Amino acid sequence: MSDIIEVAPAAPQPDRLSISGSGGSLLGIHLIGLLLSMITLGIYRFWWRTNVRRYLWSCVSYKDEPFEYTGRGLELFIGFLIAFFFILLPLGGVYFLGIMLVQSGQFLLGAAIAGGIYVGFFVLYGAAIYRVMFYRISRTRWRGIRGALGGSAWSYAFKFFGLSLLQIVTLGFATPYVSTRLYGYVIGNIRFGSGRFRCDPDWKPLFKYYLIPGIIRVIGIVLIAIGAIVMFTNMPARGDIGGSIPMEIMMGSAVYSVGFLILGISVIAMFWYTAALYRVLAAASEFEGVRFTARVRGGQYALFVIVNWLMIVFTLGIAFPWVQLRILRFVADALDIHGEPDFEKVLQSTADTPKFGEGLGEVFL
Amino acid sequence: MQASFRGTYNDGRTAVAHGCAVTLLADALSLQLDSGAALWWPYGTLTLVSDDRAAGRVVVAPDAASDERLRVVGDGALEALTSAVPRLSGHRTTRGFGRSAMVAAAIVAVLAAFWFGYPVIKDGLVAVFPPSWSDRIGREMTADQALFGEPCTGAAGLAALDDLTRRLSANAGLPEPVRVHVRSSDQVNAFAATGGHVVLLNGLIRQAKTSDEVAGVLAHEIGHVKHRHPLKRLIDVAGIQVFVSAISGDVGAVGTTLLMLNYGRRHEAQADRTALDLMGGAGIDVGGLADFFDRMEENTRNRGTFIPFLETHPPLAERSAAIRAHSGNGSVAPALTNNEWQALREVCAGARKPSLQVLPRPLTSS
Repeated sequence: MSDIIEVAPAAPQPDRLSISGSGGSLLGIHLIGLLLSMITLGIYRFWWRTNVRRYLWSCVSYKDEPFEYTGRGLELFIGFLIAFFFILLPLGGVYFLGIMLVQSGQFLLGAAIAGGIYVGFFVLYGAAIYRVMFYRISRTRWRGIRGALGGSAWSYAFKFFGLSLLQIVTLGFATPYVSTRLYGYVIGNIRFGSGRFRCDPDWKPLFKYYLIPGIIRVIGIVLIAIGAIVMFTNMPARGDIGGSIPMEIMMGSAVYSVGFLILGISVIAMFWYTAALYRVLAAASEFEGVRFTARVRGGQYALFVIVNWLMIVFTLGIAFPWVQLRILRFVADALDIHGEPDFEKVLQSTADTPKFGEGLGEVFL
Repeated sequence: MQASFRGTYNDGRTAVAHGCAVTLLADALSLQLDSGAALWWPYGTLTLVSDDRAAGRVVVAPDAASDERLRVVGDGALEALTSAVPRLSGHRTTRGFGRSAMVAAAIVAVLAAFWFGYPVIKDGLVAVFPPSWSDRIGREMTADQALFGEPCTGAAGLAALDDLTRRLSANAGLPEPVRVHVRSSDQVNAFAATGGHVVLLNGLIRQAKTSDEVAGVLAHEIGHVKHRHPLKRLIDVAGIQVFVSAISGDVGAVGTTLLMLNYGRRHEAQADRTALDLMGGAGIDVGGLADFFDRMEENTRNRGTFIPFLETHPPLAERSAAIRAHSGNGSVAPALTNNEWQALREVCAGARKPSLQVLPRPLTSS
């Protein structure tokens, strides 16, 4: 109103996604899907998944306009059949051949074949993850404009393979680097129409969040290994278990159990890391001038996930639809969207779209 | 009813939202864009993209392949549109009483089909199941020496047992011959596997006070063989695995476990009834089986870990009461002579004990 009050222009209120929808309706979709899957020996599950996604996507709105899922059950079904018959069965056959060779005495050749198939599956797993996201994003629309995922599944798959090896070699301590690289690649390749996301997250601020759960996890695994070794080396010969259990075995099993307990604690401690990862990813993302902030704290995220678990466990899974909506609401509440793109310049997508569904993802994930 | 609304139009070429006025004509939607252009979408190809009844929001496209969208928000917009184009109300995300009724009917139909159809399928499978497979599975189920101990070979004891088995199964009308094995484990237990293989554990023979008690347990296991319970149980377990993996979720597992519990109890009661008939036919006092159950019940009560609901067997006290109600007709003689009984008690002399000791649990069946 007055020039005196407007000393500094107030920062514009950030946008949020808004979530509608009811758990009851979603439960109905799940129940129908479950029943029809039962009587069709599981084939209906592709249509079940499609119906659930169509509902969930329509529950999310940006600027009061809902997202749309345009995938179809038949696409998922055909994708599954292709992956099963042209990838899984041939690879499985070759693996079986390798095992037969090992058993018939051709050890080196057989082991090389079987080992090669193992590595092949590992790489394919990464490709499967990417193809799943490729399909889902290409079947997502907003205001009639299609999403798309650029990049390449193979490029992601080899990154996934190499970075996973790095993670193993570093006893997990490369996790912040690995997850920022992988997520950054995916987010940075998302397109909406002609507009593109960019994402270049820095792993260094995440490292301190990983340190505590990482160390706890290593301690847990070491204790489990020690306990197991002590138990096995002191196992009495077959047939002579007397009245009492040897002291060494009791000690070993105690160490083993404590190891698992500590591993459980590391899972909890990881929530703080995961929340920090979301903050870093959001802050590093940009879409045609639009910036993002994730306002999620570790304790809040831990509570959120634990409540989800409890809801599912204590209702024997019936609360699952409500948990799905809770997840959408959590994301919508936490994600601030700063500014808006010039919608005039966001043109319809000309990117390739996959003909068929998630394929390998149906087999692996 | 209102026939005109404000709406938002997307042309499918850019992500811009255009304000527009929407009018429901006789056979088409008319869109008057604020920029001045006019569009005409025939009802014949109009496609519902999504609707949210709570928010009163509808999104439609001129046809299924189009990138264009129209969003209408407001009281009565959805109702006016669906009354103009009834086809639109059949969309998946619509809901209401009709849909709930359909869900309920579908649930009832599937449960009924499963409930009545499954036993028929199972009986068919049992009838065509090759005896050689039954036999091989039975041998493998009973082979484990670490769990059950070595086979017992006392010749006189085994001869007495075989004779008792022959007398009990003489007029039983068994689908396959019974082969009884004794194993050295100290567990108080006996079970029937497929192919007519029945295993008595030495612990049970040692725990029994009279040969009538062993005869009762043996008759019970022969009852399982008569009704082919082990094979039925096997088909149940395999069926559950197919079922659970088919729906690729764990939701079904809880219900089917309860179902198995029910079958388990029914099978035990059925085997008990057959045992009474067989013992009556062989002239053996059924009181022996009741005594044995009573003593087992006392033991489990003393251990204090008995959870009646979760047991697959009916409560032991109930079973022994049912047996006693049946006893007292016809002349009876001890199941085995004194010499035979002593030989049976020593049948496991020299057989090596199993290396694994599982907590004894009275009388599991198959």
